[in-house]
Amino acid sequence: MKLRSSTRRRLSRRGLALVVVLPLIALLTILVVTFLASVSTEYQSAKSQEYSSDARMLADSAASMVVTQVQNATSAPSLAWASQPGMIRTFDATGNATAAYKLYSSSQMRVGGAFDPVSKLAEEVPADWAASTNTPLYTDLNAPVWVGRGSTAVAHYPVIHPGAVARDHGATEALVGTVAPVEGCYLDSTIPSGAAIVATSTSQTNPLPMPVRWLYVLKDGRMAVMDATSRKVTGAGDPLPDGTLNHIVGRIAFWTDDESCKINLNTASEGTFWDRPWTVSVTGSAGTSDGYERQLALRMPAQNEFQRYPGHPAMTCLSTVFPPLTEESLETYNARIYSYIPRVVNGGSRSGTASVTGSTLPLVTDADRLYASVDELMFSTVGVPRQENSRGAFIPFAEQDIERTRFLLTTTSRAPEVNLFNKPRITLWPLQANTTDVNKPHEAVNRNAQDKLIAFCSTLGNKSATPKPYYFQRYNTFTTSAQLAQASSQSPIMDWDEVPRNQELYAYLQAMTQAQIPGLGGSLQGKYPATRDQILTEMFDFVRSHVNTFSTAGNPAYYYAPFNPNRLIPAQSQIVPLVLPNGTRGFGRFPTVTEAALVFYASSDTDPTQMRAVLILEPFNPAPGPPVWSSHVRYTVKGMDAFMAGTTPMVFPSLAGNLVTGLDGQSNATALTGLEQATQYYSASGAFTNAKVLGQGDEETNYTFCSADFKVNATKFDFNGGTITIEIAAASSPNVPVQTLKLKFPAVTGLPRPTMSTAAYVNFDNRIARYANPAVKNGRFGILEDGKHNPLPLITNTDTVRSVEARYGGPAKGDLRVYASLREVPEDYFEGHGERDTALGGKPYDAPGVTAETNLVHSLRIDAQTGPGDTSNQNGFYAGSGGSGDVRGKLLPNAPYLDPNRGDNKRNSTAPVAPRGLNGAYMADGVTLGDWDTGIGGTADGPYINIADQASANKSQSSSGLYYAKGGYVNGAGVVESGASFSPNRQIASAVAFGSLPTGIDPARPADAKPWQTLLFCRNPLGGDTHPGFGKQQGVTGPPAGPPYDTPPDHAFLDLFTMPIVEPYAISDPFSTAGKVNMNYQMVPFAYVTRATAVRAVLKSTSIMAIPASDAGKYKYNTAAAPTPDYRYALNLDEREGTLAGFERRFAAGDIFRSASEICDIYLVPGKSVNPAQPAASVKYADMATWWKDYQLTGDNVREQPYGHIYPRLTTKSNVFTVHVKAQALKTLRRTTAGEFVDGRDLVTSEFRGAFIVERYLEPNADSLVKADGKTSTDELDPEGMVGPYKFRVRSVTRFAP
Amino acid sequence: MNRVHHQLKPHRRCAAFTLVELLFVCVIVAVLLAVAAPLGMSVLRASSLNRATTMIMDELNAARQLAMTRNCEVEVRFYKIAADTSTQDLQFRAFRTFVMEPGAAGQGRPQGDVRYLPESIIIAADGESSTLFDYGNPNRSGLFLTKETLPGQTTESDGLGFVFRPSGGTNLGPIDPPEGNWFMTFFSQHEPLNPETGIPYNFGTVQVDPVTGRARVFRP
Repeated sequence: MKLRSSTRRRLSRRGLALVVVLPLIALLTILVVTFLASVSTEYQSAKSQEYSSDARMLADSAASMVVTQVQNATSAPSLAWASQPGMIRTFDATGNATAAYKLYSSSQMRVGGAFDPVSKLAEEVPADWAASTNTPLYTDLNAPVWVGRGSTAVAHYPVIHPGAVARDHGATEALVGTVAPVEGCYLDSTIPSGAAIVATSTSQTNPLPMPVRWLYVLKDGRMAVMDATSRKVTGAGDPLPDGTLNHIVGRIAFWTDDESCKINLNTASEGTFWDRPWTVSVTGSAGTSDGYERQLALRMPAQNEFQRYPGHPAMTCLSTVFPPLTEESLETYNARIYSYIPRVVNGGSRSGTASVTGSTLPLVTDADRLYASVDELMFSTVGVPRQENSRGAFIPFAEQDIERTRFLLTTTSRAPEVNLFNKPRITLWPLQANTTDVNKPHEAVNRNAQDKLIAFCSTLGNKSATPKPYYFQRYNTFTTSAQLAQASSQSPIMDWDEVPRNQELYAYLQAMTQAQIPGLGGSLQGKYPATRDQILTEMFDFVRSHVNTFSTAGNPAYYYAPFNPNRLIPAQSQIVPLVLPNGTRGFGRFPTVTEAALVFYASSDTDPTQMRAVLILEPFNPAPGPPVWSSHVRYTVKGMDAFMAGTTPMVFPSLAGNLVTGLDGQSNATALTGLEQATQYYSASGAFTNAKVLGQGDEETNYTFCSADFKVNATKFDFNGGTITIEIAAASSPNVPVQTLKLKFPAVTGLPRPTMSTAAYVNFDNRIARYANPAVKNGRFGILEDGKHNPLPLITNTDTVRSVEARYGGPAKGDLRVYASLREVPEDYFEGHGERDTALGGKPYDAPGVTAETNLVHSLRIDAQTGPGDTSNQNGFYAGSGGSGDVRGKLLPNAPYLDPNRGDNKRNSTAPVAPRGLNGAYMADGVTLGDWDTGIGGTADGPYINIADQASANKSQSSSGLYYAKGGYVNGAGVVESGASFSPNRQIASAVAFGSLPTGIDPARPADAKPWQTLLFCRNPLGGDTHPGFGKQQGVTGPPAGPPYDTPPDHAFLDLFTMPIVEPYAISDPFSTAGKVNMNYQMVPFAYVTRATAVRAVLKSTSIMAIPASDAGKYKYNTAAAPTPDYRYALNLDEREGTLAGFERRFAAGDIFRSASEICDIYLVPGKSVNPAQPAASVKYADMATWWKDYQLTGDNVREQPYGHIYPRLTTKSNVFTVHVKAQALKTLRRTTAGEFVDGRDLVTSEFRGAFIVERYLEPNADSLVKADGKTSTDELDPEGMVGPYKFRVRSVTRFAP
Repeated sequence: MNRVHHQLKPHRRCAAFTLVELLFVCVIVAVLLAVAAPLGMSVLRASSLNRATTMIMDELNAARQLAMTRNCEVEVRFYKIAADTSTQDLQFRAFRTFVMEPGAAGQGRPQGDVRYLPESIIIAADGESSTLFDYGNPNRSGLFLTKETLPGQTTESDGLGFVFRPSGGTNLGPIDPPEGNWFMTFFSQHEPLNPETGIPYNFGTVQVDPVTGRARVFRP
């Protein structure tokens, strides 16, 4: 009983425990469940965030993958590379493709050899990519996100908005929406399989899909595509070292856009074409407007009017993306565009509608900051609160405007300024050493802010102990015009001897031209084995002599050539050609002699037997154009003492020196000008020059090239002839000849004794000093001030003249540039007039058997000032020039040039500068028409070197036409060169400026010169496809369609040079430039979408000029009754039949452009005339070669000029890429087989869509030349060296989350 | 004796409280309860308000995060329902999140269950207290109406909602004050009202930044 009782008690105690525990458990359970329930949402949120960061990390890995691809593709020093949207390709020294690095997710990220995106399209993206079974394989990167539902839903596209894309080439409707598509943006229906890819269906509704492969990411980080058949991902499901399986954790898909295929909002604006005027055109009167060339002449760009600087990125046109509204005038529209663009403002010539003079104020650039992103275009970069940019009058930009155009615009594009060897390009802007240690260029003085920035952009290792400048240096410059005795500009050697870095750069250029060119093939040395060095010297000398010779605008102002901004001084803008130890020579700005005429005149009005002889030299300057040049040289003639008239010595001095101190300002901007300067001298106090007198006294005031009086009794006399030696030296070193020429005067019998007909001319001194009319002052500018601007009467019909002149049939075939380039011009380059080269109707120097010799046999000419107020009927030809029926020199055979003095006594009737008798400038083969330049404005065409544009808005009162008149501007007479229009980036934009430098001159073998052959930087030389400047391929007739070349094209030279853009701000960095546009606009793999908009934007502001041969009688001659037509045409940019057809042909061949210089291999197809009243050109790309045959009067420089506008704004390499990414974090269910992923069943836990902008850049403080490893330093001559080390940075990450 | 003593001991030990004692204790307990009950109710209601705050904030944050994670639009919808099975006193008491499928015709997919606010907690429906329910105001946009039959219900409930975009922001407009202030106020409907504001003294307000989508809570 007791036992039971105690048991019961125990039991009851046990029950109590249960009672206590159970409620406690229940309580705890409730608490836990309640807690979990309360935090479940938080948990989900946290989990969601974790997934989100997984997706973001996967997206980061996509960007990293692209960086790796770019790095691999661009780090081989010996390979050239070129980028395009979606791909970088590399090319070897044979010009063949070595590899294609895909910048989009694909099964094979690197493909060896060439890659044709068109033929590979079906392989990259099958037609059924959108099928439901293919969702684990492909994804559309451009799949839209819809915002809103139902009818108000709006689709936002992450990459390209179909509203910007036309349905097909030429279609006016976009793929979606009612707004017109963007220019140059269309679906290309000719691309095979493209239509199937974009076809819409129930499962594929995007009209513009961009499908790429998914790359699956495994747990251990490996990436691979899913096999289309087995649906397995390689490596997935494999055991890992930690015992787990390598399962799929995510997938990424990406495609990389090339930012340089877009228009840069920070550099582009709206270009208004400007070029130097090359012909004359009608002056506007009431109711009519000025002709186009006259507009160019009067309305040059003002200072800081970058939107008109040839070759400046601000010339790239935003109107391709934001076209003007129908009611907008051109200027209003442009002003609107400029209001968006930082640092570009309206003003100056106001889009070419207003004249610009020296008093036109420079434009004051705004202080807008740069756009950080395209989206910012919505708002102005100034103003608080921020103002909206307007897309029309009071219509602000809307979100959809930006969204439509985002694919076409950028703010970050940047292209490397390295050559195809991956080495530094040499800057075209010369800077001065001006320091005691020329090896420390950074310590140089006399550099203004722009100079310093250019130096910074062109120097490797700016912060190192031994910075390496890649610009040519002048040894000295001066801040006053008085210190020029030691000027290196007046020395043929100082800039070479005293600046070792120049020698190194020359050696560097030699090395670059010696090597096979990666991407193109062949070597320039191989192409020009005998003349390569001469070409390089010409280039070096061109940079030194014709760019930045005076800087009056910056602080400090300085002068390289002698210069005085207030008035002309002796030797103003004269530059002695550089002569290198290797025997090559530049042109400088210096005269040569193309003819020497012996003038026999009756020197006594009482004794008819008395006569005297005077030697007249005809100088030639291959560098005409502004700035004016006042030659200050000494001509020395030896050998005249042997001259005899019959048996009577003519008593010339054995050595006659003649110091020329010409201030023949305006005339000196033409090619044939120095003739009369030699007869004048400068008087410091005089407003004009003074005449010399014949005699052997002080050679500054005496014209020493004269004989004594001698007598010839008979009415005829024999001249024994002989060889004379002419030496030309700079006045600052009068005894150091810069050039020596030998001219042989042949003996001639039976010359008529000169007679006296006009008392006024009895004294040759009077002729020099105009003539015997002391009341009239000397000729102004050396030209007779007779109100007609006729030449001085140095020859009259009563004289007897025999001249030795440049041969049109000689080794140089009349190419006077060859004469100017040689240090010693051999005798064979000259001959007695008509002696061997047929006189063609004129009288020869000596006609055997002809008893009555003609008295005047010469071709003397001065291409002097003729302008709107002149009435000259001689047009620079001296009496008897060319005989009575000789052929004036013609550059273009049989062209109907006006023939002054032969009935065409018209003002501005400029015959070309060419030796008498030349009927066509033919190359060495005698068949190919050669290269010559069109003269500026009203000046004659001729064999010139097309100097850089250093003209100024400061102009004299007598040169109201500015470029128009032969002299361009002139200072003095109250006009001060103030630098009103000075700008480095206006002077020279690219090495296309070298286009008129001869390539056929071998100084060692002048007899083998190849005349009329200059560097070819266009597709349409006068000589056509036989021009030697084209590249050559074995077995291919004519210019090949593209690389590889056995012999490279001339344009390979362009790639070696650059001009940093330093205005309006530092658009260039060290060895990179922003805003350049990639020629390779083809999109890989999406070849079915064409986006040529940016290239169109580059081309849009450029015009070409084409002068028909039939207009030879009027292109330089203009009257209101018979106005000169406008010869310029805007470009037809069409992709099928216009200029872009040239691009499309390259893409159609499965290739891309390797060098931007290849633009020179593309015809620029003309479209509308710049004159709305004139018909448009109607020609297709395929017919361009034929079309140009009708426009043969177009000079080489004019043909190349548009390429000079375009080339510096193009690139083939980008430093900035946008990676469009789609990344998904994945979670496989347990029932899924390890290593697989089943779409629709397994989970996509998170997704990231967005864009990474990655930039490849140089650190300015650490850049140098390195080997492929990016670390080992080397030098510029090392074939395995390249600019580096390049680093990468992510500039921005934009999540696509509309 | 010993036995007796031994037997008596447990009796003593088991003896109950006297009636007086019990009554006394009961009275004390009653008094305490009487004093504490209103206070306790108040605490309970405050606790409900706290829970409601947490629920709303969690829902909004989760919806926003979901939109960002999935890169799609996410809707948050608030429903007017009754406190019991009747159709009386319809107030905003429940809400739910929808993930929107891509495409113009895409439909929402519910994410999780309908969540009900603690009993007696409601969200003020007037536009002054809850601008997030200020539907129909021409100066505001982004809100939409919905009519759905909620699980377990037989009739359709009216509702209002707005959208979190993939960026994490919302579709609400405008974004600048005063109309750009987006918030909702909730409180216990059994609390006495503050005559000045028309809502109880104790309430919660959740403000949603229309640009970033971030939510903040304010309590008096």
